[in-house]
Amino acid sequence: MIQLTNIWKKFGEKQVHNGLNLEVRDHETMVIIGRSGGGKSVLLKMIIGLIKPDSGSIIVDGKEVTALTYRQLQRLRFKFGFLFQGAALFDSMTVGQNIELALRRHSDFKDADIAERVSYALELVKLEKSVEYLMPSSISGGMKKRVGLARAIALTPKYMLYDEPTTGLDVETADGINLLINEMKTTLGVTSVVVTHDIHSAFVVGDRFAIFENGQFIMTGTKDDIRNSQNPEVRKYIESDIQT
Amino acid sequence: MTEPSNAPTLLSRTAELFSQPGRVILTFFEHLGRYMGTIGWMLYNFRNAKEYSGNILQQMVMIGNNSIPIVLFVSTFVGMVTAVQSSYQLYEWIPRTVVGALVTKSVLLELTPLLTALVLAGKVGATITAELGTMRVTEQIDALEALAFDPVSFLITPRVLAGIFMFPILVIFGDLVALLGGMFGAATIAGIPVEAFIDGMKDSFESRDAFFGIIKATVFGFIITSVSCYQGFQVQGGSEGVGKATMNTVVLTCLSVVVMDFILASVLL
Repeated sequence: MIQLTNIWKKFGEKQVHNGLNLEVRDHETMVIIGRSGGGKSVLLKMIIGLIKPDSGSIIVDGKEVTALTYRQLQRLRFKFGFLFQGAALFDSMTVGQNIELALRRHSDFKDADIAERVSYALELVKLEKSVEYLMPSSISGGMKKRVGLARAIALTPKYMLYDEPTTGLDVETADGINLLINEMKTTLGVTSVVVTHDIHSAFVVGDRFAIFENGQFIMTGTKDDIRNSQNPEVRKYIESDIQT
Repeated sequence: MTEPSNAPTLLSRTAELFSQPGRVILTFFEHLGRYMGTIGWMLYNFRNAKEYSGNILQQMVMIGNNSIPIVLFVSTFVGMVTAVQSSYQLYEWIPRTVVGALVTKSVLLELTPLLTALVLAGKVGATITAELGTMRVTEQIDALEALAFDPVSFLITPRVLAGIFMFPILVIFGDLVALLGGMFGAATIAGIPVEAFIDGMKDSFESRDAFFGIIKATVFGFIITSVSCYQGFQVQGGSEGVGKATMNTVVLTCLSVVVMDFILASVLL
């Protein structure tokens, strides 16, 4: 379980988080919905300790993330897979090397086992084995996201963090990514936190939803709770979905 | 009733005048502190270096092998111009062997290490900053951390080690080529026989001069690679931030090399 309590964060003069609270239960997909540039991605990075909050508590599996040493934090990160907004593939490595990087560093697998894991990860994200030898610069945006996802799941994480997984993709490719997010949940049983401003995508993948506005969660609930909400700020997102 | 004026007073202008250099000094020390922190972290985690031996070799090729042509080119002309100018400045009654001696001393002690470092500050330093800066803005460094890698050990340590190993080797090659270039320049332009040039070289050569040049190269290699890595890690914003950091790297490393050259000369000679 991931629990965020009274998180405050300021960058320069800009206050991005105003004492927000969130609970992500095991095996659920929690979707954080909010406008771009509001501080949602910062929240994901806080969960794995890439950014520290100014104050507040972040608890993952009973451990206070903000109080962990660097080594403890590294061990905690084994539990997480992170799909970055632009996939963040290492552009000096092939697709295969991207996926196997963490396996080579953090596991005792032999070469044959690593090759098998890479193939399995590619298969899970519906990519052909031949993609393994391509450089990230020669694949499309949708494929990059899939490779980023394959890299994230290579170490079979307990938690998956998705930062704007469908941004910049056409509708068909975005739907493919949404299906994959759902498959990761059913196949690997991961607990997921998805950050998005795409309400359509949110409703396809989410179990529960948190609406992020002005540094706080103005509402948390299920799909029906969100759809039936009369809060004008929440209605804005629902209506944007109806329009699309 | 008149509204209070927002025009700057003499006092606020004076305060602004003095606060500007103050901010620059504070920023300098802030960056110096962070840079020292990064170097400290690198040394603290040095035991991990063997796990990244593949990266070190890759960087040695990038910094060393790929820089050989430009270092040889520059060194050849440095040797030639030193010989021609030395010959021009000497009076006719001074023995011509002095040209060989002058070229040897100048090349080994100063010219090859310094000019190689300045050239590589542009080539290697700018490449490292642009590469790491792009990794920073495209979240590749965050991705490394998310995969439980220490980005300093993975990205900075191999580059700094490669710089420390390869700069001296490049300077040794540069020394040899510069001396040959000097010999060629002296013979073809200044009309000094090769034998006279070699006699001058033999008379003036001291192994400590060559050793001193290698020490300089090692220090310059460390400065250029570590500063350029730090600059790359600090990039903020998009491509504009990468461009700015790359420019800062070239300026900072060139200035640091020149200052360190003076300090080393004062301490070691």
